[in-house]
Amino acid sequence: MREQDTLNRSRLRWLFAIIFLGLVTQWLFISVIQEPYPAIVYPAFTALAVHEGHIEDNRTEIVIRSKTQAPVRVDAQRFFQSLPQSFVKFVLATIDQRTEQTASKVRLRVGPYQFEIKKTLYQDASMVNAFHQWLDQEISRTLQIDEPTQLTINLYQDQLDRAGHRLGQEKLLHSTTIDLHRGEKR
Amino acid sequence: MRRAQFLRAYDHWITDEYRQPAQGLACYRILYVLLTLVFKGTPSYLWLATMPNYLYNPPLVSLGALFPGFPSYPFCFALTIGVAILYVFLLFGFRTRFTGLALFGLLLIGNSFSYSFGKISHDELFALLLPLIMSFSGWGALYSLDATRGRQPRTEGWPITLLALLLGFAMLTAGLPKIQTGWLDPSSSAVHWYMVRRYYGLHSQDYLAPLFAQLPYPFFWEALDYGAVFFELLFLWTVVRRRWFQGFLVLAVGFHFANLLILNISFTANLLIYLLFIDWQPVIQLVHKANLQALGRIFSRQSALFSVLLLQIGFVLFRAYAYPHVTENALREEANGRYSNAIVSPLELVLQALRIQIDTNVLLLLAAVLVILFACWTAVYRRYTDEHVLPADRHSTVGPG
Repeated sequence: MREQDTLNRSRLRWLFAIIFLGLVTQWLFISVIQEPYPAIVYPAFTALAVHEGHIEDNRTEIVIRSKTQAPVRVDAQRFFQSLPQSFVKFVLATIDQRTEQTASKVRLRVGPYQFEIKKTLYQDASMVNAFHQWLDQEISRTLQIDEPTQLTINLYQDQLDRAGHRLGQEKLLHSTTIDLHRGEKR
Repeated sequence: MRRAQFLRAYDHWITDEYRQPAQGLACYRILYVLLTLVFKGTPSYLWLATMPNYLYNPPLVSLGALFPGFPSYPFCFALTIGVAILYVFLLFGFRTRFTGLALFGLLLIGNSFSYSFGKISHDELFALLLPLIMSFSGWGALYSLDATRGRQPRTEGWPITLLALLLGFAMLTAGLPKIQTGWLDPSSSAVHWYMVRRYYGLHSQDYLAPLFAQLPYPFFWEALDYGAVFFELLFLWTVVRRRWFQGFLVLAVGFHFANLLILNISFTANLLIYLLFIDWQPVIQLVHKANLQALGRIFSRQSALFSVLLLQIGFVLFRAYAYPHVTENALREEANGRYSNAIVSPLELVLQALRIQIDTNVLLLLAAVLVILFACWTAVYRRYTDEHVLPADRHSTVGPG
């Protein structure tokens, strides 16, 4: 068996040139719009905001209220055990977006012109009910709480210095409450 | 004249710079799939069927955006079993090109749904692309069922060059934004701040993290910032020469090792891809010909394929029964001792049976380092013992065994 290229050289040259152009194009798309899947890109770890000797550190707490016992507070990472842990922050954002009925915005700037793509997540009553049933199961499975009535998501912000010391009191940035089995938001 | 020279160099780079001998490609295929099956475990998509569509939020441009929600349990079950079966087919080189393309298709469908929560994980990117691109390399030409049936595709060098180019470009996309966001600012120490956040904020305190969390040397942390940026930027440039690229891959192994030990960030999936770029020629020349023939006999038997297939399907069914609601990634985190001792790979099953507690990520890293060290040693050994430097067997005729 001879080791030869089955594609001729000319076609391979064009294939590589087109792929390289495609790589640059998808990168521009990621830079100005949003990352598609799949895309040839690695995480850059740029999202850390450093302010005058400290960084901001967010923590999300879930509070469960039920008919049978006092409110239970649990860390979001602990509550969403059935999800990959790196997904939790994004899932919380989706829940927030749906309960607040807000549209996520994707901005595209070309010179002086700016375009905005709004993405509103579709939902109906059956979808909301199914989500509440799923939350019920998760609460029962991970925390052994029966008859939950409310689930509150609290986002706190804290500040850490270089030595890992927390600076001052953490503050509540945002709170969302879901009345289970009603599909309402407070 | 200059144009002709450029085109000759360009052609050489595309087709010959990264070319591997047919035996090397076959050995890599077997090693890659074995490490995937034993260490990582094949992916499970069963958990997706239990997720409510309320959480469905796929990227604007993705396969997931074409669907209204997560797939049903039978679909996820078929996807999970299908991927497991195709990995075994790939191990034995059964209809290798079609298997590779089908595996890419199923992984793309499964991953598209997995990444429809608003978050895309990048560590499995090349595990997705490898079966697609290597389908055109002829890696099933030897030590395979295809070879025994007389289906021996020609081996190609360009798919390996393409993978090197994609890897270099991916590294560039990680490096350039770092410059824009102040990683080279001497007053910022980005790595140190990540260390602080991960150690104190996220409680990632395994391995060497406690040693480094309080390290008070600003120059050390600044050197890490500069090192990371230049390492990622120069990766694409090294793709031009195979030797440079190999040198950077050795650095990359150290880079991933340091990330795992210091920051507890695991990116070990890439190690299996790096093994493709080692010099396979000296390795296969050092391994005795009789051993290679024995390898060929094992992977060209239908009975062996059926045995491994049964074991693999048995393991996937056991995992689905034992951990029906837990994600593959969550399982991995749990297996690292966070919440329970769930099992994702056959190796973890064995380790748990023997009551040995060890992170399989570290084992995978060590296995990859051992293979790379072995490759380096054989290359040096051959160079000293053989007067003739061993070029890749570029135009020779290669038969099975």
